[in-house]
Amino acid sequence: MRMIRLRVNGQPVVREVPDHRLLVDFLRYDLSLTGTKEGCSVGVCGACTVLLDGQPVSSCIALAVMADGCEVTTIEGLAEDDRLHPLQQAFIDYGGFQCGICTPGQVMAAKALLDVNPHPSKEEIQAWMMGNLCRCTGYYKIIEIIESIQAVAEGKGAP
Amino acid sequence: MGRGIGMYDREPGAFGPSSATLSIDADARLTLLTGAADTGTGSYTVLQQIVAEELHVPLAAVTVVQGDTDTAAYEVGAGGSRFTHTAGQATLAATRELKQALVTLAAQRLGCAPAQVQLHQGRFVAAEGHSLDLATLMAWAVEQGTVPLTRTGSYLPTGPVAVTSFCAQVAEVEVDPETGQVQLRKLVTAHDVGTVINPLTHQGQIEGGVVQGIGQALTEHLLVQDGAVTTLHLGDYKLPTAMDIPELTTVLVETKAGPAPYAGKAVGELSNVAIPAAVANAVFAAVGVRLTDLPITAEKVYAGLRAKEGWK
Repeated sequence: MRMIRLRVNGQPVVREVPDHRLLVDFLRYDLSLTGTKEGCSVGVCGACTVLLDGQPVSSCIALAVMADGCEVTTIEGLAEDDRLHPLQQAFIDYGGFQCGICTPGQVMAAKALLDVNPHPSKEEIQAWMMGNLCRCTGYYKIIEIIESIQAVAEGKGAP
Repeated sequence: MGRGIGMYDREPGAFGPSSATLSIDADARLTLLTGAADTGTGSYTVLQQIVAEELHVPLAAVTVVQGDTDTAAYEVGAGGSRFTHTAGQATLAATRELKQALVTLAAQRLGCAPAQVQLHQGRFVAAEGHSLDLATLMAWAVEQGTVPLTRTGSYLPTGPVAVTSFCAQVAEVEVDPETGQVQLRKLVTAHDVGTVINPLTHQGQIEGGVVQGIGQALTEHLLVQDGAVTTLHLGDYKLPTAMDIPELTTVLVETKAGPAPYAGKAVGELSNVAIPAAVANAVFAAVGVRLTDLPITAEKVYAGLRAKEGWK
């Protein structure tokens, strides 16, 4: 067991966890933040994507103890009170999700991209997002949303 | 480079009963109860749209309560490209019955016969011109003790429907003659559709189906050895990623014919099936290698290319 001290979605968290506790399980079961999904358990599908100090990680192959002293952002951390993040709203408005199981991971990965590159090209988006599998949408609308989100957020256009 | 065509047809699913129950409350809010759950296809919104369309109310006035088979009337659920057709018709039936009940109520309030009352642009209008809106009607109905007002609609298809839902697709591939590597560059998917009730979710179905077909055509393979599956997780079983999608063009040929409400057809299982055929035909057009088992891998194309050259 180990005591970890971290911040999750801006809030301080202090917990004792077994060394082998996965980050995805810590978030979902210890903190009841079930927005993060587990799709493959081997770190390839991206459904479990969360931001660790701003970097996208597969939480199903990360240990909770790795997050000690870090800032973790999950899908629950994007909205401010009742106002959805522009990315979330765009996913709703422009068909970015269907069943929703990959969606939290898609949105977190997209946010990480836009944080480092606010105007990514279609090719840059595809390369960045290839770690987030989706079976329902075929990716087209997700890519269009990320490509046009800056214009959408400024009220200038839609995908 | 080569292009290949694939075609597919199936009729909209027409099996199994559907039911829906529609209620209106004192604040003129509508609640539709359905036993089926929206799995992400957007069926919630399609049913919501049907109610809103018939009763001239905004979408926000309609709530769909879904998936509770303990309380909902019998519903087979989503599957077999049936739902917009059958659940849509059940919803339409419930809505039209409720509308008739509201017309009767409005006629009482307006002091005339129900046959003289029409719902026009959101108002119940009597023949001689008096009218009232739904909110006013429901506030009055509370005092008459007739709230909530509820009607259930059912629909049982009587057999296969006599409409087509054709899909024709053209795949353009680039094949490396040295390695057999296949790149799917462009795809056109053309669909014979009835009235499209929700363009956004309809297109979502087409795009998702296309990429599922691409996975089947090019990358997905479940390996079985001595009766045991050896492809154990998504690291081994290759689903298409955001990098694997071609430039896609969708063509909708819309006809006002179909068994769903407003002459809608179906689209759920249409865009996925013919993709492997289109891709295989495109590979044949590009390099003359005819493959008949999936996925179409570089190894198989390579073997075909070398066989054509007479290599052993």
